[in-house]
Amino acid sequence: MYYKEFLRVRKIFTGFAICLVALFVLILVFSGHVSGSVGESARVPHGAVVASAAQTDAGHGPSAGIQIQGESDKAPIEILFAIAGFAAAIFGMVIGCALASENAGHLEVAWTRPASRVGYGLRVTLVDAIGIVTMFAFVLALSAALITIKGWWPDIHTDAASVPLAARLFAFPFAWYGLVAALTASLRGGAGLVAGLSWPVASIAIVLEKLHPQSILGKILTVVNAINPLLYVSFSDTESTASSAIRALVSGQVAAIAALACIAVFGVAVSLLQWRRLEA
Amino acid sequence: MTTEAATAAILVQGLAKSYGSTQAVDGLSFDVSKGSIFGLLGTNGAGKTTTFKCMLGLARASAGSVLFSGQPLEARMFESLSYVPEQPALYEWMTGREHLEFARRSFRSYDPAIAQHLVELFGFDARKRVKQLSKGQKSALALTLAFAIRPQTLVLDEPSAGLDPVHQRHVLDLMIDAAAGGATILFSSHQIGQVERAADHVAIMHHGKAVLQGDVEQLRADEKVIEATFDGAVPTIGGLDADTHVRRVTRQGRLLRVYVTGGGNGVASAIQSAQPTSLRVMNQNLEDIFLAAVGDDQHPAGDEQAAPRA
Repeated sequence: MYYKEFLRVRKIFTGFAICLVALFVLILVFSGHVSGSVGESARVPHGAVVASAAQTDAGHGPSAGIQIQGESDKAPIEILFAIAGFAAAIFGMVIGCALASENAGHLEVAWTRPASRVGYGLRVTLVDAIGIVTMFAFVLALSAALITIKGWWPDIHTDAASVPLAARLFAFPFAWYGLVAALTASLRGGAGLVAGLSWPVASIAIVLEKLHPQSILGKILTVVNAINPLLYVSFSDTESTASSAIRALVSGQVAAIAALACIAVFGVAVSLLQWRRLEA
Repeated sequence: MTTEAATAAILVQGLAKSYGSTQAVDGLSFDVSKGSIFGLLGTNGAGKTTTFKCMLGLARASAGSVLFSGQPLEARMFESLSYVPEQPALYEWMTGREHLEFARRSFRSYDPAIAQHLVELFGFDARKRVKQLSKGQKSALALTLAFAIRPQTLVLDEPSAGLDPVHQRHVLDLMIDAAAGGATILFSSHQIGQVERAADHVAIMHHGKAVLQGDVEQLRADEKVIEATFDGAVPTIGGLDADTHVRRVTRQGRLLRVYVTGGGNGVASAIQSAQPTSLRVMNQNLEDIFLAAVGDDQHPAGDEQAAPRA
């Protein structure tokens, strides 16, 4: 019963893998020397994602988060997890539309198997989760290989905060998957559009909340952003926004990881509830 | 509920489904005996597909019940229940072979020898992705998947759609063979000739209701058309429209056609008394029966009226 799900994830994974390998080959060919280049070349497109100099983490004190440009010239190991996390999140966004694609003309096949609907949906989720883990590991391995080949390891540093932060970045794609699954499960068409728009919308929601913390919009966005996975992997130098309460709440790595896990689990639960009630 | 109905392979009672103000299926009831072939006929939009979807839990019925061998539908029953929808709901990105493998892993009763035989019979390339197959080939693949699990119950919605006449004949043969082997088949088709050839029983749906149903042979024996030609305009024949045996009356110039069900002799006598120049009593084929049952909105012809069947 898992055959078709593995087939689907494998095909999407293969497409992603080819693109990523091509990208890494380009980086390999065109990247410069080690010195002073790691932070720049490995910078994640969402610049806000991995800077947490002001973050306070219970038990770790200040500066427990990722530092791209800190007092050290070395790049944190977490940068690898950030790359892997975001690549896996994009992958999760694509495969998160699985139930929607079943709803787009395939329910007659999916629902005439000797399996319950919830069981079917859970199998889809399980295989997708395995796909996300694999994508995360693949990108991590690819990044590590690139660093090894380029001889950048001496410029990478780790500290005690690396492990929980890595865990947070590992949880991030699952949260994104759950969010997309919940948003698209009952759609017959346009699921891809909704999934694709989820990134800019989530980014804009955080920016707008920061810009207008006291306005009604800002207050609404504070609530909305509670289920915005980006919130839990993005940090700013100041805590002046209306979401500071949430940020304070999740300033502990464990709380952030728990928040991401909750988004993932509740997202999947909501998607399954919708899935059960669909009609062909 | 009769004992026979209670033990029917499929028992549909009072099935109803509405979409907003549209009543797609309206109190439909029928039963299908084990090992028989039941044809569901109806014009486009009559409610056949909706009926199938409600029966199989793909759509939520507004009312009514459906029992398979006396039991409400459960997911595990699909181990021996195949459904071929009107539009094959196959995965465009998968190949035919991958669909077969998917079926092999999903159904314990999947028989690869049957699958291989049907692939060869229909002559499609199972290595191709579904999106590369023609409409007929997609139908053939869907039918292959349906028959390869050796189902005890088959629900086929327009199974011949898109197939050429040779393969349409193959589908009929498959259905007849399966029924001979004990399988129960419920199918819909616009090809009345195929239904007439394959089905033991039929139900004719119109506007969501079963307007006529019964054994095909019995219907053919019961249903007659009386055709009378007059010198001038068709005269008024007293009591004709009120006769409970009369299903439908058409008047077209000098021609009077009266569709009767059971006991048409009295009607023929009444017409004879009006002194037509010719009078013929003919058996109806299933197409005539169908057209008579669905009324004049499908085939308008002169001054026509339908009489409800008693």
